[in-house]
Parts: sequence; structure tokens; C-alpha cells
Amino acid sequence: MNKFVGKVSIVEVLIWVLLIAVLLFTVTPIVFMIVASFMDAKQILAMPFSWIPSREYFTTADRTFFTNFQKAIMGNNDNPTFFRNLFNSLVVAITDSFTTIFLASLCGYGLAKFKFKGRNLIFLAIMSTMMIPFEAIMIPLYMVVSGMKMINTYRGLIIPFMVSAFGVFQMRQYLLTFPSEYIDAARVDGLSEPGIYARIVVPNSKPVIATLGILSFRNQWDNLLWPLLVAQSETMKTIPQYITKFSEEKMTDEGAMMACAFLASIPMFILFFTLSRYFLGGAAVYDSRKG
Amino acid sequence: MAKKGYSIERKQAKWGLVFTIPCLIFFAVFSFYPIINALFTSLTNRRAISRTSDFVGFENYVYIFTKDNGGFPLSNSIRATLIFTVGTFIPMIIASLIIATFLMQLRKDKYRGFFQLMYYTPAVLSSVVAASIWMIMFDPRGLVNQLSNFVMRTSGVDYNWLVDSTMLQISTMMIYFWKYIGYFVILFITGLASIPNTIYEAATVDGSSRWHTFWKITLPLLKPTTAMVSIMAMLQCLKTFSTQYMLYQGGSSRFPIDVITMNIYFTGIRNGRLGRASAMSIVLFLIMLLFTYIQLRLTRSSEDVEY
Amino acid sequence: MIRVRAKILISLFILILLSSCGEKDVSIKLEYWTHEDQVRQQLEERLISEFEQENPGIDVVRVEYESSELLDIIKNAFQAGSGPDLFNLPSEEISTLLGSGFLDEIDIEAIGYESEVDLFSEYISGAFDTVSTEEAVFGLPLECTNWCLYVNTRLLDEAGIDPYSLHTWEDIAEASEHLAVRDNGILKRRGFDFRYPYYLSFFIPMVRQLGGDIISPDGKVAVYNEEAWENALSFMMEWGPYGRNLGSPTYINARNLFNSEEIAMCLSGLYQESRMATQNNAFFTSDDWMVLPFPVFDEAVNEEAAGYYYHYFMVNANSPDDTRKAAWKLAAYFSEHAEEYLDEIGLIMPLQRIFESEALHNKPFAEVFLSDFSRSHQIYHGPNASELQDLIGEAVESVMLSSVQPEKAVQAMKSSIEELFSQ
Repeated sequence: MNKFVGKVSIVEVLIWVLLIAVLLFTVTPIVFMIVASFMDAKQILAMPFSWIPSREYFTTADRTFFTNFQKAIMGNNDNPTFFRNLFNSLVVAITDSFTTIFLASLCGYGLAKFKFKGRNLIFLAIMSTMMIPFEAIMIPLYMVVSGMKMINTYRGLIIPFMVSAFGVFQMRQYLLTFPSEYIDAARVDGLSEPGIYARIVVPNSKPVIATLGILSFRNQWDNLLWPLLVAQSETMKTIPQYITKFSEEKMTDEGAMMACAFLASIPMFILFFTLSRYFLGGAAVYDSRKG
Repeated sequence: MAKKGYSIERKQAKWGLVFTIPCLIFFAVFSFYPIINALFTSLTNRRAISRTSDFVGFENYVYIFTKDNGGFPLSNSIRATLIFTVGTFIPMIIASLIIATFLMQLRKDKYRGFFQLMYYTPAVLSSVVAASIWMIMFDPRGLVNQLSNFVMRTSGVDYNWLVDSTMLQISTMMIYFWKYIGYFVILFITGLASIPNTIYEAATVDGSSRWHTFWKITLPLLKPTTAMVSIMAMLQCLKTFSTQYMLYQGGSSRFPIDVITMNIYFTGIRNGRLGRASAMSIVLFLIMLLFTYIQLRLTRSSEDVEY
Repeated sequence: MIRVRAKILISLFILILLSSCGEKDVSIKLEYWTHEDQVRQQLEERLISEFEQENPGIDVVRVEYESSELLDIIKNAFQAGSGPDLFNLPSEEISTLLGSGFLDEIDIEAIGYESEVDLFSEYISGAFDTVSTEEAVFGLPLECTNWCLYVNTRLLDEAGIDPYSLHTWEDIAEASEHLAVRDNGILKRRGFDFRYPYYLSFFIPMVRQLGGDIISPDGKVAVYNEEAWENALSFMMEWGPYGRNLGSPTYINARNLFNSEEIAMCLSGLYQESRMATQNNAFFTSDDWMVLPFPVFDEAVNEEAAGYYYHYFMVNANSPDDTRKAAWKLAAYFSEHAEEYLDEIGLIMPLQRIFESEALHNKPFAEVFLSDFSRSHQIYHGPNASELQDLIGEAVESVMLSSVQPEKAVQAMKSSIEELFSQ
């Protein structure tokens, strides 16, 4: 390392210090969750907190290293719906991220690259929906969905979130900077309009599409209020519902609660870390322009 | 020839509509209709689980601005929402801009990717999980209070993170900040990345300092991104619900963190006063519209892409 | 290649989207929504499967919700024209539904009685008050519960406190001071704590002990006897983090901690015993716990115990005829097994025969609950009951957590309550 010392400026040191401080801030609670999921309530709220689950604690007969996880999966009864609820969350979030990508890119493309009457009006109308808080339209929305007989179905969970105004906005902003010459050239080459969309626009929007997909996935993964209304049977509930249900009666058991939170986050972590390459697409663009 | 140009335009318009109509239909059913429904409801005295309702004109609007709505007046909710929004989104924009700029200074992409990843991790946790983690950490015996004692060089002081009305508001801001900082960093990085490198190279050739480059080149070029990101952040903050709701469920008092959405939820869903809650929704909608308008005005510059 | 795969994926998901949920061929599908209760779930799942065997053609789906959200979800569902066929709600949440047209009148025939009089005679007096209007009765009682003081005698012994010396709230506060484990200002373990946010059940009785009430005896004044309210609030203020720091609503439920011996005292109903037995049987079977009457203020003018509340089975009036009949039948089937509710989960169905049964009197400390029962009132269940509970909660929490002066809190609450009733 010594040979670098000369090159490292004070600014650079400051940058690293700040970046690491922020890192500690964002990561500590997550590490806490993971560590706590192996502890019992006494250890979790011990003063001072020890970051390593104490060994002697596990020597008691009724506890093993995984007691909390067992409780988290088995729930209150021997009728575990954990995996089913996890599956539901995945289905809803994945479907919605695909539909969002598809519909938002289509609409964003239409708004960015075509001139037609009422275009700005349509854009403004769609943008204005961003300003509608979900709580405000929850009841009318529920009536729409229940009128369509979609209570307790995947459709009921999925369809109201098939596309977001923010997605359309992001796609449009991105495509505004997309050189029109490519599109015109494709037209001259005789490519049909849907063909241009599928072969030119979509492949060239990968970074923004990836971002959009993950954001949409996360939003649905996070959604609690809507499933609370729409998914009533145990088999249709989603993971956030499972966790709240879990925390209500067993608030004493912080360890099991954290174990449950941890387990429920694992699919998200896996997905996130494997897709991170696409996700950090913004930086990828930067790299390609640098080169 | 003239006819051909005309038909190309027509064709263009047709395809533009074809591409936008699926979304438009979707928003019509799942956004416009419900909000128009809410607008009408706000003019009635409709209550949940009652079949009839009467048209009452603007009575609900007069009510929410003059009466205390069963101890939880809209004025308090507007205060709580504005404090939360200002206290969250301004630090968040500044912090994420600084962090993003710093990240771009890192020499190795590997490091940058790592930091980005780690900053974003909280955002992948669901709000329910986030709130349960923080509620344990905010316990008087919990990690945050231990850290507070360490930092403040005190011992055994209860900083009342979930109790004191000021601390409670700070707690909600902290949870929110924690959860979304990575998200906004990424948005800024995307913006920074779209600035062509040649501009920087030119600046370096000119002999500008880093600092100078940042203020004179990066920041102005980042204006559209900043505008977009701050509007997003602000709208998100104005719509905040689950953090406050979870803390309230955890036993904290409602009044200091009774943001407008929470008041809508309690007035409409819990207490069944749909007319009144709808009026509040419309007010929130207007507030958000106004703020967006102001921000667009403030950040708009002549050479910007059309909005 | 990637594009092709994406296309396949997209079409797959569209397929999932379009595929509808196939419905089974059962003549009556009955949906029963209830609040979470792990021990009751086991019992009721068993009873339901027995019921389904006896009544082929009826398929029962039992769904649990968080108790704090059940009413909201039911209301929303009703509003949108759906909802459960059978459900249960506590006393304070029923007034909003009464007279809404969504509640089905009790089906005397389906529940196996000859007349209303016949039905009422089986139950203790007043058991149907909450669900009755002048015209009709809308619910069948599921449980009747009052709370007493559970005490961990081992922890009290260690602190040198005689449990039998605990009579007044002042005694409780004093004992809690000794029982509390602290690190300077940080409360690590509490001695006793209240049962937030059920203020109608424990706080109103405390106000009544001091001579106050929600509504004056003549029915004209809301927040009757403000001084009593202020005194009760002062006690809570002293209790809270800015007073003697003995407890607060932000801590974990005392009744849950009691089972794991992490708090010395809590308020709970007879059902707590069954939960102790399932969660910590060694503690349950030991001599380390007992139940004491609900404490009374030193300067009380009324000997008032904790308010008791009911839960009622109710039926959705918009369900089809035969479904409603089946729903009442199921509710009655549950009631027929009142003995098992008592034995297995410690819930008292307010039937005469249960109150007279050996089984009830043989439950540990049942006598304490019964004698407290005779000096208590049903919690407020009139119009706006749950909103009222929120307002009282806000007053208590504002003095405990935000240091609002009790006088101010009472005035704020009073004007809010008056406004609530004036609508």
C-alpha cells in the first residue's frame, strides 16, 4: 500500500471517510437484523449490545441455533403459510415488474418520440396520477377491483399496479435523449413501428428498464395496505402481511420476529445481488461513454 | 408530395396513440376514476357502511379547515407532513447528491459498485421489516439509545426516541432517510453518468479545479436530474404512510406524526367518514400539485428538454 | 435469444394473469373472519372440521386478521359489496355497524331456539344489550371477559413485597418502583404496566373510581366530573416516562411478557391462564403466580373493577339466504361447545350454565374474576365507541408522552368528544 500513500490526497481521504460512514449507517440495521435473528429477546435488548450471539445461551435444552427460524416458519400453528405467502409476493412483484417495463416503455416511447394531438395533455394527465396518494383512492379502487370479482385472486393483487406513472415518466425522460436518427434510419430500412420499438428502443434502454423493473418489484414487495384489503384468505396473503401477523401476538419474541424479517428478505437479497449488474446500469452507461 | 408528408404525420400520430393508449386506459380505470369518485364523495356526507349519502357542497372542506376533526385536525396533519417532508427530502437530496458525486470520484468501478449496492440494500427491505428493525433499535435499551449515550457522553439516559414528540418525528425521518437514501443516490448517479465525459475532459484541459468543475459544470448539467429527483423525493415524502403507521401501531402517540395520509386513513377507513376523508385527499392532491408546479418553475431553465 | 425468452416470460405472466381462480363445487361456501388468537384457532379449526362433517355441503373458510384491523377491513369489504359471512367483533366496535343494514337479524330457528325469550334465558342478563336495537337482535355472544391483576409472586418475593398488600393503584406504583430494573434513566424491566390502548376497559374504570365518567348520569354532559379525569390523568402522567418512568405504551405488551416472567404484574383475562399453559407450562404449573382483584385508587369513591367486554358472532345481511342460515348454525355450533372454549382456551361464553359450572369455578383464581365481575360495568359500547377510545387514548398518551398538562388534555378531549356526539 505504501506506494499509494503519496497519491492519496486529503480530499480523497475525506471522500472515503464519508462514504464509509454512510455505509455503516445503511448496513448496521441490516446486520443487526441478521444477528438478532439468532438471539433471544434478552440478548437483543442487552446493554451493552453484543454483536455475537452468546454461546452459553444455546446450551439451554429448549433452544438451538435455529429456534427463531423454526418459529418464524411454523408461525403460531402447525399450518405454515410462510412459503405460500412468499410465493405470492414473488408472483405479484415479478409480474408487476414485467408489466411495468412493457407498458411504461411503450407509453414512454409513444410520448417521447411521436407527435400527435393531445400528447402533452396525456403526459400531464399521467403525471398527475403521481400526486394521488394511494390512501385517497383506496376505497374507490377496492370497489373497482371487487366489482371485477378479483378479491382473493392474483389478478386483484397484480392488476392495479401493472404500471406506474413514475415508470412512464422515467422511460419518457430517458427516451427524449435517445437520438431520433436511429429510429428514422430504421424506418428508412423498412422496419415496422412495433419492430422499431422491439428491436431498437427496448434493447437500447436496458439500464433504465432494469432500474424500472427493480423499482417496481420493490414497490410490490413492500406493499402492505392493498393486500390487506384484497388478499383475505391465508393462501393469498403476501409476505408483509405474514410479518405483521407475526409481530402482533408475539411481540415478546423479538428474536423470532427478526428471524422472520430476515427470512422474508432473503429472496429479495438474492434477486438484488444477482441483478445488481443490471441495476447499476447508470454506471455502466458512464463506463461505456468513458471508453 | 405534400400529401405524403401529411400521411407520414398521420401515421406517426396513429402509432403514438397506439403506444400510449394501453397505459391511458389503465390509468383511467385505476387512477382517474377513483380520484373523480373521491372528488364527488368529498361533496357528500357519505359514511362507510351507510347506503345513502346527501350532497353537502363544500361543507366537508369548511369542516376540515375550521374544526378539529375529533382531536386530529387537518392543520396539525399539514404541519406534520410539511415538517416531515422538509426534514426528509432536503437532507436526502443534498446527501444523495454529495454521495453520488463522491462515488463518481472513486477510481475503481468495483468500489463504486460495492458502495452503491450497500447503500441501496435498505430499500429492498419491506417497510414492515424496516419498521420492526428500527422499533427494536429505538427501544430505550436498544442500539440507538446506547449509541446516543455514547455520542453524548452520558450514561443511562433515555433519549425517548419513540416517546418525545420531537424525537418521534426525528425517528420517522431517520427511518425514511435510511430506507431511501440509496435509491436517490442511484438516481443521481444515473444523471451524473449521462453527462458526456468529453465535457469533463475539456474542463481538465482548461485547468479547472475539481471544485470549480463541480459548481460550474456538473451542477448546471445535473439540473434536469436534480429537478426530477427532488420532485420524486418530495412527492414520496408527502405521501408517506407506512413508517408513521407502524410506529403508531407500536404505541407511539399519533398526534406528532399524524401526517395527512394517516389522517385520511383514520378518518376514512377507521372512522368511516368517507366524505371528509375524500376532502382531505383532494386537499393533499392539490398540495402535491402546487409543490410540483413550484418546483418545476424553480428548476426550469430555458435550454431544458420540454416538460 | 434473450428477447425470445423475455417474450415467453411475458406471455407466461399474462397467462397467469388471465387464468382465473377455479371455484370448487360446494353448495355453500361460508367465510368466517375473526381476530388472531393462536389457541382459539386450534380449537375452532377442529370444531369447524367436525361441523363440516355433520353438515356436508357447507365449506367453511376461517380467516384471521389482526384484531386492530379486523373492523376496518370488514367495513371496507361491506362497502364494496363483499365481506365475510360470519365474523366476530368486540363490544366497542359494534355500534358503527348497528343500524347500517349490513347486520343480519339473529336467526332463532337456525341456532336451535324456539324464541328470543328462550335464547335470552340461556344467557346471563345483559348479554345481548350491545347487539340489540329496539327492533331486533344481531349477534350471538362469543365471550365475556374482564381483567384482573396477574402477579408473579416469585419476583415480588425477591423484592420483598407481599402480594396481599397490593390493593390500590398507589400500592401498585410503589411496588413497581421497587420491582423496576433500571440503568439510571433507562427502564430495563417494568414492575407493572397498563394494557394500552384498551382505555375503555381499564382507564375509564379508573376514572369512575374517582367519580367521573364518559357521560354524566343524566346523559347530558360528556366528560363528566373533569376533576376525576384530571386526577386519573395525573396518575398516568406520573406513571409515564416523564414522571416516575414506570411504563409507557411504547413498550411491549405487559401480558405477553408476563408469561416469560419478564414483568411482575399485568392486567389480563382468565384466558391468560391458557396462554401461560401453552407458552410456559412450567411457570403455569408452579406456585409462582396468582391473580388479584383490579386495584382501586386510595381515594376512590366507587369500588369499580375493570370493565368487561363481549365479543359477538355476527352475520352479513347481504349473504345469500342459505349461507346466512349456515353461518348462524356455525355460530350456534361454537356456542354448543362452550365447555371446550372454557377448558381449552379460558374463554367464558356468557351462558348461564357456564357461570354455574364446576369447570369454571375450578379454574385457578376464577373466583377473583367472578367477584370482580360483580363490581364492574360493561365497557362503553354506545355510538362512536371506538372513536371515543381513540380520543381517550390521545389524552392519556399526550400527558404521558408529550407532557401535556392534565387540565389541558381534559379540555381538548372534552371538546373533541362533544363535537363527536354533536354530529
